[in-house]
Amino acid sequence: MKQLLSGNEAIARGAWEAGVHAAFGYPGTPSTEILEALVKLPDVYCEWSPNEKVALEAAAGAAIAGTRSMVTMKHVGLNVAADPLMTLSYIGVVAGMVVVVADDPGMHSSQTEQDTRHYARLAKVPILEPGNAVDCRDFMIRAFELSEAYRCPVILRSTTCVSHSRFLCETKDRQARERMPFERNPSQFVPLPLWGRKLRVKVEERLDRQSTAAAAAADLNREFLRAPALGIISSGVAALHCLDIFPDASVLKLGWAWPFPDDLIRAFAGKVQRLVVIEEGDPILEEHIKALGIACDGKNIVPRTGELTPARLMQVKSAIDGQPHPVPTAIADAADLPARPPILCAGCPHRGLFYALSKFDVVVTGDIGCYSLGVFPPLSRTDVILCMGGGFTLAHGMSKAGETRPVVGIVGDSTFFHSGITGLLNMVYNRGNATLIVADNRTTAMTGHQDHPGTGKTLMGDPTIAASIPDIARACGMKRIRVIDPNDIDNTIAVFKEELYVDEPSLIITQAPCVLNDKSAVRAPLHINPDACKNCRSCLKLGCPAIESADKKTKPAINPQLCTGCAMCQQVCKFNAITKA
Amino acid sequence: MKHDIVLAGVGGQGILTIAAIIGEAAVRQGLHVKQSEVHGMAQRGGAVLAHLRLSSDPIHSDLIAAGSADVVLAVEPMEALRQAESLSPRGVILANARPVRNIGDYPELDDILAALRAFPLNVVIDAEQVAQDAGNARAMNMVMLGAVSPFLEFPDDLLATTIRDTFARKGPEVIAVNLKAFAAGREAGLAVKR
Repeated sequence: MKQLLSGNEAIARGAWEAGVHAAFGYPGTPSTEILEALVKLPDVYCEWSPNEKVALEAAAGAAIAGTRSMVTMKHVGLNVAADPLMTLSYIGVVAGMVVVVADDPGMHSSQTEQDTRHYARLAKVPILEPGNAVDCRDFMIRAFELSEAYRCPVILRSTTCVSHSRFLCETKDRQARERMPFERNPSQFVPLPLWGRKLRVKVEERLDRQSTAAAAAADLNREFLRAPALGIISSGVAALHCLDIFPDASVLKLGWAWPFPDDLIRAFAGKVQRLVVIEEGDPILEEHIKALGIACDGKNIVPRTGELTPARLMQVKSAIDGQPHPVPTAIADAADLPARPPILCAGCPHRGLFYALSKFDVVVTGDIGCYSLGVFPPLSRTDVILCMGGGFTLAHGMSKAGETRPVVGIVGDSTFFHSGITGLLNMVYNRGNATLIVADNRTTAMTGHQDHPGTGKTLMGDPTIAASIPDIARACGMKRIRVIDPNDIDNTIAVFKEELYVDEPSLIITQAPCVLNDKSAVRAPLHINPDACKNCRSCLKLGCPAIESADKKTKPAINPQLCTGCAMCQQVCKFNAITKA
Repeated sequence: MKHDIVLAGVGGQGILTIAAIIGEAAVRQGLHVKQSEVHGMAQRGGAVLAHLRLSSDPIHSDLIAAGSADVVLAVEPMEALRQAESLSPRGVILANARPVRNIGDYPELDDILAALRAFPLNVVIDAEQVAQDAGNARAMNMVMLGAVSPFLEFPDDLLATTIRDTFARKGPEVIAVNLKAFAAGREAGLAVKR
């Protein structure tokens, strides 16, 4: 049958049809919806693991135990999970295992723009690159087959555009699969150096066989032979854009580009007069093709950063033709429009945390999550962000460096479990001195409200043990632990006054549910009484999107559609002008 | 037949619902459908954009190049203007006139509306007011769907049927309000189409 599926839904569908038995992951845009789609299909075990390393290792265990398994993450997640991937390439799997990684060219919701193909080369495992949802479903099934054929994990690399675009997909029934037996074999599964050196050689032999197979895999690597004057080698969604934008060019769309299908590349290059490599991300194909002794254009005319959108490919086309690019008629008024960055939602409990912090001269190291938005004015209370868990560890390092202002390290509840615990343990163990904050809104909010070890519920919807952040901190040796409600601004400021200046580590857990996730936290909207309002604009310092003010002469007003009644503005109003509507 | 549609708005305003309903209707028509969504970083409050391509002939790419969209449909006026460069010279731009002012430096609204009304084919309406009159201000996105409906070559009842199916789980009252909002928006679109 045919279904309109997003790339992420199609990845889930393909995995399900391939008989995947167990799926693991950590949420991360643009990969999150894969497991959310898969968990709705029958007979698959799905879980959110605390981080990507745990997820990849668990998937490896499932595949070594003889069931098809998969793991999902965004590109930066593979940084966390890189360690087990490298070794898994050596010891291999019994049943097929696919590592699904979603890159984010253009950095729509990421701190870096990474090209996961580098990891495939580093780990020496095949990587498949779907260009749309149809490919996603088909390639996922092929990825399991390849993984089993070569007994190694296979990476499926999506991108934001591929994951979030919907296409009509042909879908079929699920394959029935039996568990393959796991048989003890330490020389295969235990990479001590005496066995590891032999495995190392086998990996290189495997790459040679895969290169030959990739060159012959016409379903994954497709030639669109049109006129011979111009040949384009491309992959992923960029290859599909090229098919539309260069209607006369011959296109080699590589879906299995590593290990490089050298024979296919040579043959295609021989069929065209001029060769251009158009790849989103780094010049990985281009450099290899040049190393083969084949002349081609590439990043000299193709942008190195960002998405290769049709608009940008039109510019590449002009460069290929040697024509000046016709600039589209600029809409003069549109050019100067202000950007609309994401902001903390109306009623977000993180607002109370950052507003209270804005009353102190502190250095704040933040983390990856909604609370990253505390950096924007008027709150402006985040100074450095590195990575998940980095909120705690950066703070420790800064305090050890002798930073004279109090140092505050923030992580979220989900990132506390992801990689915050080790940082907290380290600070206590090594006698650091910073104030650590867990911005605990009881969910993984930024990616769309996924459960985590602290929520008491699994991805399968089952109740489970809810890990306690204070208990974990106590077990790590943390002595000063406070749990407060950041919606209570006066108390939050008072607790900061007590904790920021003590001479030992302290942990403050600001705990209140995300109002988008827990509707029971939403109350009746508030109203600003214009007669009582003196236009002092104190409420605007909260940066709440529900409080609107067209210009400095206009008294602020609350938009009742957006207001969730959190009453922070009521607390900061000196004139009692804010009441229930 | 080909319709390249750019949808824009602010996170939480419901453009993805519009995209889903048009996409589903196109599938029922047996058209080739490609739909691309780019969410803002946060769930709410940032600018959001979706591209929707419908065609009777096969198409490869899911994105619409600048200057080639047949329709720009925005549920917020500044976001309409931001995406206006996508519009082809023969295209129609539709915008909800009610701003979302969640940024400090929101431009003069009258200037934005004047710029939108300067397009040869434009539908600029206070969709939130129209939706409120229909029973619920939050059905604003269905008003805008109604407004664009005369410009899409669908059989008369197809979009209404798809709305009914989309909101089936939410009960007859929600369906009725959304259909009423859709019909009111359609009138506004028809007035310009004629």
